[in-house]
Parts: sequence; structure tokens; C-alpha cells
Amino acid sequence: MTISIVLADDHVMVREGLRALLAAEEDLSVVGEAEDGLETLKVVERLNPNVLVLDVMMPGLNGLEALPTIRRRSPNTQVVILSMYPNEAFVVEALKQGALGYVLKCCKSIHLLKAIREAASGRRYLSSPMSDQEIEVYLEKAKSTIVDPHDTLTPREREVLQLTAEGYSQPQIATRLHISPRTVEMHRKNLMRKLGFRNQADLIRYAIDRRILPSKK
Amino acid sequence: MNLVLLLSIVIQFFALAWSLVLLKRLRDWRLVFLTAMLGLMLVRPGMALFPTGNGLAVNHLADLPALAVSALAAISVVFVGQMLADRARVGEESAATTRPTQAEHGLREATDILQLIFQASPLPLAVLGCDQKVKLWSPAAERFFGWSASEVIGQSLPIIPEEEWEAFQGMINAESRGVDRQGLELRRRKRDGSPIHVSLWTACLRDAQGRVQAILGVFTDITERKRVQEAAEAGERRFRSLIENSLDGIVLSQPDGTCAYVSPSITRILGYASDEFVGHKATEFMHPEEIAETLRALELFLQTPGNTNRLQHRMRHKDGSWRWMEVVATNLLADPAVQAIVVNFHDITESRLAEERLRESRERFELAVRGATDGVWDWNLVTGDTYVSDRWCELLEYRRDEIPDAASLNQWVFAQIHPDDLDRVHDAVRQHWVLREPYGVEFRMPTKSGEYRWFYSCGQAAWNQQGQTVRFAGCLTDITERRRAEEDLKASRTRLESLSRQLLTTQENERQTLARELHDEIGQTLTAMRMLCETGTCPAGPRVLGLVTELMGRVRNLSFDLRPPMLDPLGLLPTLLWTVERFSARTKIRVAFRHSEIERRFAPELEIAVFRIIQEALTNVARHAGVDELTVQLWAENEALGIQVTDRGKGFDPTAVLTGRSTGGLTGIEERVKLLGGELAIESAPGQGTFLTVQFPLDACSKKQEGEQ
Repeated sequence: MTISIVLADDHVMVREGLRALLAAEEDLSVVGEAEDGLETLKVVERLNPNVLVLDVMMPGLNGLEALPTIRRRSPNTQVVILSMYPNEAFVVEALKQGALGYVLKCCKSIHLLKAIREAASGRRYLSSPMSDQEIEVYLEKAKSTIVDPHDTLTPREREVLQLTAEGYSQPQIATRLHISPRTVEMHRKNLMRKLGFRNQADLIRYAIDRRILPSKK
Repeated sequence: MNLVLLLSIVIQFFALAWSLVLLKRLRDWRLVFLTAMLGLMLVRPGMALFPTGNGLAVNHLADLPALAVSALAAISVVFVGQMLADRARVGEESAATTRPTQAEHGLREATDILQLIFQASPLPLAVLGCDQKVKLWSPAAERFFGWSASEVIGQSLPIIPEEEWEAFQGMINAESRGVDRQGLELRRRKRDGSPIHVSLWTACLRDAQGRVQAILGVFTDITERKRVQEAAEAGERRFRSLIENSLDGIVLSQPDGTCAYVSPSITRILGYASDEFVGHKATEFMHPEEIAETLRALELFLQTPGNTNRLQHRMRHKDGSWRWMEVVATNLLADPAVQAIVVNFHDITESRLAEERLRESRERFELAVRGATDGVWDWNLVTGDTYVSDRWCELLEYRRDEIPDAASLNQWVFAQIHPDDLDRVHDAVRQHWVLREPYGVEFRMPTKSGEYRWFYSCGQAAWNQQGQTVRFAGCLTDITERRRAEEDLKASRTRLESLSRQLLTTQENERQTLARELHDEIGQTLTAMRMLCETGTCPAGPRVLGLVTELMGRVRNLSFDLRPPMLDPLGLLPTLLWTVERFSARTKIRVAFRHSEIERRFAPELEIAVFRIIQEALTNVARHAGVDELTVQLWAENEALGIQVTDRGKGFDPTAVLTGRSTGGLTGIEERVKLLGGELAIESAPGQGTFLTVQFPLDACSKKQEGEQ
């Protein structure tokens, strides 16, 4: 069974190269080409190929942006992303949007052939160096970590917080830290903003919670 | 002698005796004689009726009838005599009343007249007995006091008010011992309770032995007189008080200048006691420089009665200091009530001093006004007049005679103010007048040529006790040039900002274009080339392949450096994750990247800015800090996006770098932060590491949902 393929890439040279590559394969047949996202949509809708080889970066509507629409309108067409970027983020995004294959342009052509065949069968294929493992790793890193606002405080801001919580006035703090009162004010404003305080009471409460202020013995 | 004869003698004697008694009683000799005669006569006839023989001798019972007759005659005589005596007595008595004696008549007349006087007297009269009860009460007293005679007679005097009772008692006691009052002034009251003042004259009424039987009192109403007197006294007290308490001193002096009287204020004004002044000449206390002039004035002055003269001269205070006095003298020598020169004086030392200072300050003000380049205006709200300085007129290119006069100037000025600025001016005035906020306002006014220029007016109002504005004065400055300069400055600043933004945008665009060109065009071509090599059509395949691959790598790096490919399609998080990895790989510096809530998309310019900032910060650390690890923290909340890059490296002096206007990452960061309204804080000191913190505000519209097209 011949797998019908549409090539979407904005570079003529690349398309020619791909065409030549795929022509050499018997079970693969290029039925259409497109140069940009919108054209890709139209061509795919018209020709309804088995596989769409889609370049990620295209002018106008780029591949990733077009992908959801393509998948929606032509659910029978599997998508293999062809990309210059071996970046897990792209892979994750592509896979999220419904692509089955992700192949780097710099890879050997056998990867692309493999990806097309796998995609036609409904299987996922990622060309190395990407792999499920890498993706997992990436997803881990991408997880939101808790940024403790307290960690974002600079040493000076910590000092100002401590002294303010202890009840020193701004001029007193300025003298102790050998900086100008205006600077103290600036630090105070910054730390209040970083820690989300609205008033002095918030500051004191925070200081007690965090044991910045020693509890009364 | 016989018995009958004896009896007849006895009876005759008895009758005689009785007639003697009657004689005494009657006092009328004729009657007595008659009775005696009758008696005697009757005896004889008796005897005659019954004659006995020997005359008067009765010798036997045959004479008894004669005795009886004579007895009867005698008794009848007595009887008649008694009757006549009685009648005489009654007559006497009635004669005593119906025919008074001359003395008695005179007494009666006098009493009548007194009675008339008493009744008719216009002055109230009252007579008090020794028992202090009213004996007599004249009709005038009735009218005057209000009580009728019947109400008071036999009672104690009702006219004494409560408070006078004791005094009255004392008075009465004295009078009953014979003290007469003459014109004693007392307070009494009328029946209706109204108080009155009376003058009392009393006289004691004595009996023949000189004992006081009653006291006569005569009253005159002196209420009116008393009132007038008191008024006069009050008036006199007032005048005295005025004179003595007057702030001005008053001196009555003789023509030669000797002081006859001085009011007590002399002590307060010049420190002398009155007696230190009286009898002395004023010139003794006067400043030598003014004596001559004063004496000259005095001479002229004395020539005209009623003349008033006003002088100023110095007088020596008791403590030795000289004080300026203003002296007003009136020549009342000719006035019989005064017969002196009346001199009013008061201390004007303070006010002379104040005048000096005022003169000085006015001169100063005039000089300042003349010298100022600002126009001066002064609006007196009480009189309605407005004063403007010459310079003020110059500013508006008017001559003084071309602007309205003081009374209508204010209105004209307000009419000149540009209609668009008028409300603001009124508001500013009101803010100042009511809320006492400083007054300063910019507005346009046309000059004489009609050209509108910008002016700045500032001023100060003065308020009275009630808080109403009474004065408003200030300066006017032409600020047209300044405004123009300000506007130019603002414009150039805006232009600068926009240029800066444009520069950055252009830079980005160029980079983007370049990156794409590099990556897509060149990269793609290389890819194609490699593919061709792989298909084996190229003879030097393997070596070319190697070169091409290498080239592709370089191109990719260059492109990625210029602009990360995933920034536009995928956003900040993938980009930063990737950037950080590349950085670590290249520089061998470990990066701890902590982030929170930044999976979403932000406004494109914000994403680019954040990326470039972090890129720059990383570069700086790599270049200067000399560390092998650093921390990048990125967080986004509802209102702000925050970045912090921290290292514990060499540190630097941020102010030196920022103000040194050196090219370099920090100024670039600064610029980007400023353009997007964020805040940059760099905390670093040599040897203390570096904390770079940036915070951008996030508004609702900067959020961009993923997938939105």
C-alpha cells in the first residue's frame, strides 16, 4: 500500500531534496506540496494524504500553529514534524498538538523514512537524539518549582526586613547599615513588593512566621 | 319762851343758812336777797295771820298755826330758793357753753385755721404719737403715699420699707427725746410698693409742760431730685473715671506752662507720680531739641482762645529714656468751667518706630518691585482696588495708561485669561483662599498684540479674623519660553524613548530576520546539500558531508544566539530552559533555574525583554563574576513578573557602571526595563556577589493565552 504524502516546507531546495529522497522509496508517494501554513491546510484538506511532512518554521502560519487545525480538519492525516530544532520543547508541543513523528532535518534520511512509515501505521517516532526519556527529563524541568519569595530577597533586603521587623525606624536602619535613608526606603519598598506585604502588620506577621523575629522568652 | 317760838327761830335760822349756801352757789346777789327778804317777809305775815299778842314771841298753842305758817313759808322760800339755785346753776353751765369767753373763742379760731392748713397742705403731713402710731394723716399724705387716713390712723407708719425699719426706730427714739429733723433724706415706699425718696422735716409737739406728746412729720418728694442728682453724680464719676483711665494723659496747665492737674495715666506713660508733675513746667521734662519749637507754638497758641494745637516732641521717662509724645492742646482759658489749657498726650514711640520700619520696608519693596523681572500684583478685596507694577504691564506689553484703573483692573484681568485656563485659575484661587494651599497656577493671557503667552502666577492671601480673604498679592512671570523648552524637552524625551524602543525593536527584528535567514535560508540550503550528498550524487560526498554538517552546526548556533527559535512559537519557559542549558554547556557554569507560574505566554515585547535580560545577565556573570554556579529565578503573579539572577562572585559597584554610561549589558537591561515600566535593582559590592532583580508590572491585557490566534 502506498502511503500518500504531502510535503510542507517553505524551502524549494528542501522540498526537492525530500522529493528525491522519497521518490526512491517505492511505498511512498508524494501527492502534494505546500509552501506555507495556509497552503498546507488547503492542500491537506483537498488531497487528504496519509502523512503530512510538516516543517515547523514556515512564514505566515508556522507549522506548530497550523497543526491543531490540520489535525482537526483532517484527522486521517498523520503528521510528521520536520524540524531544525532538536529541542524537547518543540517535541513536547508537537506531540501535544497531535503530531506522531518528529524528525530533525539534520538527521540521516532514514529517520524521516522511518517516521513516515511509523506515522502511517499510527505509531510515534522520534528521531534521536530525542527520545521518550529526554522528553520526560524535559517535562520534569519544565515543572513549576516553587519560587520562595524569601529566596528572591537580596542580602540587603533581608537586613532591612530584619531591622524593620525589630522595630527600628528608617533613619536608624540607615545609620546601622551605613546607607542613605532613601536607599533603605527603596529596599523596603522592594522587599514589600517581593513578599507581597501591604503594610507593616504583614511584615511583622511574616517575620514572626519565619522566625526572623526571636520570640519573646 | 315756849317751844313753838323756839321752833320758829330754828326754822328761820335754817332758812337763812340755806340762803347763804344758795348765795354761794348762785353767785347772783339779787336772787339771794330776794330769797332772804321773802323769808323774812313771810315770817311776819305768818305771824300776822296768826297774831299772838307779843310780837315775835309765841307762847302757847294758839300760836301754832302761826308757826306752821311761818314754817311753811320758810320751807317754800327754801324750796323756791332751791329751785332758783338749780335754775341758776344750769344757766350758768349753759352760759358757759353758749357764751364762751374771749380766750376760748380765740382758741377755737386758731384750731380751725390749723385744721384747714392741715387739710389743705400740699405737702404730706403726718403726726405720730409717742406710741409710734399714726395720729393724724393729711389728705396730701393720702394722695402721696396711697393709704387713706382711716387705714393708717391708729396703726404704725406703713411707709417704712423693710430695710429702713431699724433706722426708723432709732430715729423715732431720738425724736421722742426731742431731736428735730430738718431735711433728712430717707427712702420710703408707697402703698403700691414703689420706692420713693423723701425729705423729712419733723417737729415735736409738746404739751404745756414741754413733754413730747406727738411728732409732726412733713415730707417732700425728692425722688426726682434724687434721680437727677444721682445721674449727675454718675456722670461726674464717669468723666472722672474716663479721665483717670484714659490711655491718653490729660494735663491742665496754666498759661505759663505750669501743670495744675495731671491724670493718673502719667504714671503709666512717663513713670512719674502725679505730684512729681503737678506744679512743674512741662518744659522741664522735654527734650532740649524740641523746647524752642514748643515754646514758639505755645505763644501763638495762647493768642487764640479755643484753639487746638497738635505737636510731637520727646519727653523724658522717669527711667531716663526719651519717649515720643503726641500732644494736643486746647486753649480753654476763656472757658469759665475750665480756665486752663487742656493738653491730651499719648506715647507714640512705638508707632513712630513702626512708621520708620514701614517706610523702610516700603522703600525696600519699591526697589524690589522695580528691580524684579516679575510683575507684581496686589488685590485689595476690601476696597476692590488692584495694583500692578510697571513690570506687570510690561509683561503684557501695555503702558500703564492703557490698562483699566485700579477699581476695574481685577475684572479685566480675569476676562483676559484664556477660557480653557479660566477654570483652573478659579480652582487654584479657591484652593488657596479656602483650603490655604499654596497658590501657583499657569495660564495664558493675550499681550497687547493679541498673542497668547503663558504666565505663571503665584501669591499669598491675607485673611481677617472671620477667615475672609481681605488681600491677595503675588507675582506674575512670563513662562512662555520655559513652557516651550519644557515641551521641547518632553518631546525630545518621548522621541528618545520611542527611538530607543524603535532601536530595540529594530534590533530584534534584524536579529530575527538574520536568525531566520541564517537558519532557514543558509541552513536549509546546507541541509539540501547534505541530502544530496547522502544520495550519493556528489563525488566527494563524505568529506563534503562532514564540512556541511559542521557548517550547519555553526550556522545553527549563530542563529540561535541571535534569536532562540522557540521564543516566538513556544514562549519564555522553553526558551529559557534551553538558553540556560546552552549556557551551562558552553561556559561550564552550573545554573540553578527556578521558576513559578511562567508556563503561560506573556506579551511579546515582555517575553523578548525578559529573555534578553536574562541572556545579558548570564553573559555578564560569565564574563566578570568568576564563579562556577549561579541562580536564576523567575516568577509571575497576578500583578508582576519578577526576575532574579544571583551569583556569589566578584561583584562590582553598580552605580559606577550604570552612571559611567558605558556600553554594555547593564545599560541595555536598564533601558529595556524602563521602556516596559519595570524596576531594576542591582545589589552588588566588590567581593560580595551580585543580585540583579527586575520586576515588570503585568496588566490583564498583557496576558496571552496559549493557542489564541
